[in-house]
Amino acid sequence: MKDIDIIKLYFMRSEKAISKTTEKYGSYLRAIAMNILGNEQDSEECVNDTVYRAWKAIPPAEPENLRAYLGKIIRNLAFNRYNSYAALKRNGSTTQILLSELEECLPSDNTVEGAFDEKRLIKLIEEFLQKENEEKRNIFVCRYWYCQSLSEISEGFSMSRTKVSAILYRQRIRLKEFLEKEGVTV
Amino acid sequence: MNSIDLFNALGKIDEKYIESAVVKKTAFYKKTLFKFAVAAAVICLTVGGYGVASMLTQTGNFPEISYSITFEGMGYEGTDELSMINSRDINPWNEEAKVKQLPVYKNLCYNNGKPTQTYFSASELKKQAELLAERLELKYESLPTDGEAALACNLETDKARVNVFSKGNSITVERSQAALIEKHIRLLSGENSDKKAQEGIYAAYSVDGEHLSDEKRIYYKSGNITEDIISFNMQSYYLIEDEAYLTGRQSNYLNGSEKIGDYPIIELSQAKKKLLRGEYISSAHEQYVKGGKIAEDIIAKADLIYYVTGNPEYYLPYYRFFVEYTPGESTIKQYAYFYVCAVQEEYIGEISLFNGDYQ
Repeated sequence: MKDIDIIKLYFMRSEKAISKTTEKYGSYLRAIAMNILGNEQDSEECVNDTVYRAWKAIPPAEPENLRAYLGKIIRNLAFNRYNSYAALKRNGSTTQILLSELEECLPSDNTVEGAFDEKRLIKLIEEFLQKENEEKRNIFVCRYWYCQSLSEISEGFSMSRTKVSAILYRQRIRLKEFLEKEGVTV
Repeated sequence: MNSIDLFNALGKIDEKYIESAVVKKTAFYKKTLFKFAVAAAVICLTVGGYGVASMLTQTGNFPEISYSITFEGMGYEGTDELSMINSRDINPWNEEAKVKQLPVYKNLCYNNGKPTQTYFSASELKKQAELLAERLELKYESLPTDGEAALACNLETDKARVNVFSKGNSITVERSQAALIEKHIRLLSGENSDKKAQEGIYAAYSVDGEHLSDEKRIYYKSGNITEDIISFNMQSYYLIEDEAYLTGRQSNYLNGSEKIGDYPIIELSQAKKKLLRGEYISSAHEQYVKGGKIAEDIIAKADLIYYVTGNPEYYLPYYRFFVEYTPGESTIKQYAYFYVCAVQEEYIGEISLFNGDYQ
């Protein structure tokens, strides 16, 4: 079923919207949650929560890209759940590694605690991604948006783990330098 | 700002980036019945899986099997002249060896494109992780629960992370130090004391000629060509290093698979004829090879490999041709891989499968 038809079902308040969404995007959403949480049961619950959120939000929301729209919801839900588990020391180490990698991207004079301009940061990240070539940009998004393991990316892009790892390493350095150059400090 | 802020900001990037990263590369088989509109770009973009298969029909004692390669991800599979010059290839296959037949294995973890079947149970995975940790003298606080180890046992230890994957074909020692990896290799060498370790280096370069990495690969050579081909393709040890960390990966695709039989294979010259006739599988477009058509003079190299990535239904031998490729701007010469199944044609009935899944 096409996305536009699924969205019509949401607008008609037909419960088929839920089953059709799960049927079409269940595995995609489950994979994102599994990457972050590493736990099947939690991931399944996140899928259910995501579809429920979509049910509540559409209408009035009318996503242009249903898959990315749902993906954003589940990434957020799964990461919130990850954080609550982290507090209970039940955290998944893959996400921990990912966060420690992102630490490397933080500007070195990042000493001031407190609020920062998230909108500007998002804009800068997009600017950074735009400068990367398409393949590298997608590798970066697979790692830090989809939270995929190096092995998954390596298989997905048909390149060795070493190559993936080296590309990501250089990207982290470039992102850090870019953020520093743009004066992101807070 | 901390890493969580950065993670959250990344979560809000424009949807076009999110969408672009999930598209998968399409496999092309010249004889497929399905025509695709070919974009001007090199990369072929479809969403969802596209598999290409041919059928091996039952002949004599050979069971009926099928083969497939599914390429995923962006771009095409290939290499470049710098990588070729600076690598030390240890593939034991060579044309002079005149190999007449090779084993075919059924992958017991194949699940028709759905999530991979597990081969080892959680308790077996944990046992393997524990055993390796013990042999490497690694300390850890606790083992994962059975639920956590359902698909892979990730054991955090004082010196590295040990991962045992449920398909049974891979054990990694991640975020490690050189001494520990050397110890792991010594263990394997001890288990293969009657064989000689062969060490290769596989260099990787970017399209701009920037050196990205050197991957070390080790396999244990017995002197029997068939055994060596299997050992190289199915049981290699990979040493992966860069500035960030060091990882050892012990592969064993014989775990989680069963031998179907020794199938007669074609010679390289026959495979080359098939390639020139367009009977190949590739993630590259022939229109972008040098001159727009595959010809003898643009085939730089050929070897024989088992295609094991992507969880295929069977592990089979393929001839792999390195064909000069001109996909776009590159300062160094590029080569795309074109595969021809090495099993004799009389066993192959042609069908092409497209699962229609453009999720």
